[in-house]
Amino acid sequence: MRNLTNAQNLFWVGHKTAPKAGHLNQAIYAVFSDVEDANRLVSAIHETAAECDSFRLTFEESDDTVRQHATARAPVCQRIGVTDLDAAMMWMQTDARVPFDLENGTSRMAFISLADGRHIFYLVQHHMVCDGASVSLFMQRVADRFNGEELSLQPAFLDCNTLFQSKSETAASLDNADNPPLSLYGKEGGQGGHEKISHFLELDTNQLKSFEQAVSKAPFQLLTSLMSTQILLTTVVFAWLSRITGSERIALSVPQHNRTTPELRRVVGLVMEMLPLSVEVNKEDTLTTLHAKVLEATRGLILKGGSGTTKPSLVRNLNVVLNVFSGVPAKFKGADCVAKILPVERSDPFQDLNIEFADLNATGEFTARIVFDAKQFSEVERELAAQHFRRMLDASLQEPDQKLSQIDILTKPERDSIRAFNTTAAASTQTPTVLEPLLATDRDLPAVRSHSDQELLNYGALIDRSNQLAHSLVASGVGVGDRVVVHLPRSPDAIVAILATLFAGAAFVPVDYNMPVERRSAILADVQAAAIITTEERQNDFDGVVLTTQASDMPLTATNCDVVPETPAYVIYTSGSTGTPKGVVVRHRELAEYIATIRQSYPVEDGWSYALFSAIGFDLTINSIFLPLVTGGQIVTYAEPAEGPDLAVLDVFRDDKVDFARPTPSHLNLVLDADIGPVDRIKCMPLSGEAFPRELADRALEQLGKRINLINEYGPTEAVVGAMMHHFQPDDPPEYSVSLGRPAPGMAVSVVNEAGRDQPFGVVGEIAISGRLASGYLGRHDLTDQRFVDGLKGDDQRWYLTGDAGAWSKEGALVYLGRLDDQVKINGVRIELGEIEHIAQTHPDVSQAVASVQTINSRQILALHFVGGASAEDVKNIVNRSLPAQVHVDFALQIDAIPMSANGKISRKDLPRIGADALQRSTSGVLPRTSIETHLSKIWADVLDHRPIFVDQAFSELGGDSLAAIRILSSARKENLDFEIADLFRAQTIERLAELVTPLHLAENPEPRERFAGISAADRKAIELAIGKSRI
Amino acid sequence: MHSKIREILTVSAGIKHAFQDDEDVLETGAIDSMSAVRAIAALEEAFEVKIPAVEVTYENFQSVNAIANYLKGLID
Repeated sequence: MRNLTNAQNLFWVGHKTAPKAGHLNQAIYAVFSDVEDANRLVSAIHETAAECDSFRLTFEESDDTVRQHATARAPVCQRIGVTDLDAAMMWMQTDARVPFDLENGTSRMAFISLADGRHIFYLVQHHMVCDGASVSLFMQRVADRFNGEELSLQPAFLDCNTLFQSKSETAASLDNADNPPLSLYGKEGGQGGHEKISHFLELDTNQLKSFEQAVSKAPFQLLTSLMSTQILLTTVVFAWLSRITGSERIALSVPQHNRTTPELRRVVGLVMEMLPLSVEVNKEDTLTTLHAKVLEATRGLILKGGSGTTKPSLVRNLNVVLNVFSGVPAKFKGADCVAKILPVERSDPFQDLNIEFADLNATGEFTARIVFDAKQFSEVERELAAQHFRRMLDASLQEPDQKLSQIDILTKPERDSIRAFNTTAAASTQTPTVLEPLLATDRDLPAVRSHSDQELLNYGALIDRSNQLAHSLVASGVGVGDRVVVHLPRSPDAIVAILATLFAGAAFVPVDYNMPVERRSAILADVQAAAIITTEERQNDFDGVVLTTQASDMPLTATNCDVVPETPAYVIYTSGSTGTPKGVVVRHRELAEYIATIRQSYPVEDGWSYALFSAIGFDLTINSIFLPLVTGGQIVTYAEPAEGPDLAVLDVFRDDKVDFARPTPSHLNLVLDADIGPVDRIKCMPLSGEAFPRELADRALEQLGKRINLINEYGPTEAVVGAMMHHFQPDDPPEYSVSLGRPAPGMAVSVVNEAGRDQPFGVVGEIAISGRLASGYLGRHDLTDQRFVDGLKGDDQRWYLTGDAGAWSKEGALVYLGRLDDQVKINGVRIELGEIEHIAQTHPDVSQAVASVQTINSRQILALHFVGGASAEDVKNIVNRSLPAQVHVDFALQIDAIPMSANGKISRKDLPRIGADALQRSTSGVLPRTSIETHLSKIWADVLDHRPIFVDQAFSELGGDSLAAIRILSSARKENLDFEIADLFRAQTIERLAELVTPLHLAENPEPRERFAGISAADRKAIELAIGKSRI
Repeated sequence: MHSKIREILTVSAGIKHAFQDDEDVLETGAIDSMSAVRAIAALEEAFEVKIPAVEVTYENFQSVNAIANYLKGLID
């Protein structure tokens, strides 16, 4: 009896996840024509199998170990007769899926005779006893025996001592715990099933030829032709994977053959070990530079690896496997033999992709196959992925020194889908500027009214007063193209100041009346305004030309300033990532176009009332000013308070005196939390500024009234308020954010990588927008050129790079994924904070939740702040149950209200900080308190060989892995404590596990449990997860 | 130098084979990529040189003579 080798151990863990799945069966078949003496061939097979101890291995589990030994019984090659090859294939494929009972045998053989005289030798073995080379060696030996050649002594697998010596110390240097599973096309890695589907890449002769040429010269020619082929193919695979994952760090599982001595080169059995090959692919890499990195990484792997190196922790996270192999076919005298791998199409659920290049005849011509997880990849997706690979191969070989990130890998169907998505009506251009319809409005209609003092201006008075002030501006030296700061509370006066500025041919720069002085000063220093319009109270706060809206003796007639569509209309400041605000310049043409667009797209009517309650310096407020003015509507202004938080939105909904209100999702949340509603008059609500959670939309209709039109609008200030719109419907598909819908008329959107190339479906990239755009940043040409790129995608369009993260869904819609800067990675896994927040909000007692990543003592932790009556522990549990294994919320914290910025958006930076002391407390040593906890900690201590075990210590931090989990479960069940392995991984601590444990009673379970037999689907999932788990 | 190189090649490949100075060590199949990489690491250690990945070519490593010439170039 011998213990398992490290290589076997890996497969044993895989086997235990699903002992009945047969997913580790490896099968080949060899078709023989013209065999004169079939009986002699069968004898050669029998004799060879009998002398290879790996064909006779069986495995036995005792309490906590598995051992193997070779039985005396050699497997029998059963003889079958069938009509034709198809029938034989069907028989073999059925048989190859039958799982092995490891206690009874690990190899099966058959000799199938076809009606046409051909014969097939079929061999299926469990992966614990074979590898590719081992099967070739076996076939070679059968051939040698059949051919009557002299045979050397066959070395016994169980005597290969190097295989049975664990080299865990060298493995430590390969332990790159930060190799998360790859997210292929945005899919969560390692969530597949046992069923796999092969896709053969039909490489044409041109492709094979250009590959052959590449490996025959520098820099791709290496020591041997196999090595050259192997490294170059691996390089292309890395390049492809980096594009279809959007990741820089790519790690694969690769086999190392380990047949390094003459003895090992002859032994039949599992010698190969799987090891991680990890390379960083950056946007500057070319095929040549990446090739050098792959070569270096491979060298490192060979030097650090070797028999006994592998262990589950090295490869358990890796959901992509790459195999490049070549072989020499066995030759049988007087018979023609063609041996092939029988595609069993089953594998470890954790494997999403298995890429295989095989040159079985050692001719330099390889066949390429990608084995996809059947659950994760549809037929269409498999075809797209294969095409992406082919494009990457062709383009990179053609120009090995071009940047890989610049290679366009998109396929025609994807291009068509993006084009269809971006096919919209032409941009609306009803009037050259917004001023013409305003000036044509009936002078007696009410134009703007103050909510607080009911001051009312009708259109006549509004225009007259604006003209008067415009004359004052001109008299003060303001000219066409200048900028005028409007620093006034939300009031009829603010509207007068804005219009006066436009009448004077200048661009208005709205600066909130309650803006902190420092930020205000920064904006004023940057904008170089020709004048400032403010209140009497504040007129002494500023230098230069300062005006108020007081009536004057200036004429009421129009100025003769020449406003053309190219004249800048406004400059709105947005926060830069550096903290310096930057001014976005928007011209009249684009403003008029946007207002005409929403007039068509929103269900609004002429003469409606519009609430002006959001910050005037925030671009979504543009709607509430100009949409009413071009439709004969009325603006109702809700002023900001002198100090304290701006809660004007609550007044708007309490009053319910307008038809239209444009809140941010955070505003809406505030309204719903204040229990306002239902409302009668408010009927149209476009929302924008941040992601619009689906449950908020549902809640809004429920509470405010079902007839309200909710419109989700997406667009940065740089793309003039709104680039995409979606009219929310209660029966929209249940995504966690309301859809962004389609581009507005005249707009196009795209998802690009760092080199501006289109991302394939699912891959996260930056959202780029073209069409109606701002003219740029005021006085910042460098920044403008960086963000507004002409011909970004090789077209004649100007594209704005938004800094927003997005991806194309499988259905061809654009999914918004937050700011690129906010894309957080924990344990290497990209997480979307919105998703975590969404899960938290499914708790009935959580009304709002905000996730954030905080750094404590240089450790990144994921915090969740929430509002509502739920307990922090509950919220944390709900969320952690639904998150991928690599990510979990460290702290949930109940707070009274979510901090909001002046613009009414969630302000993550103002969330209460999690203290370092809280982190400390989380790993204190609590001793067992209940009998279940005591039992469990005793079992943990035994299995994990660690004492004492505190009930709040995490399983994975104690070194627990899937094997330990299986043992803990088995011991616990002996003590009549029942839980599932999934519970263990989710709970992580004894404290939490104890809550999930059900004591077993014989009465309820009359059938004695066979150990391990009861591994449920959930357990399997958990073990699978565990194998793919980096440290929690 | 030649005898040291020969020794490293046989140890890395785990074989007992007396390499001739101009024998093609790579194309005979006596040394595969795995043993070659081990051999290169051993050469680096023995001759206290660093062999850049891009110089690991067939030309530089095809025979004992080629390796000796290449290493001389590195050492000088």
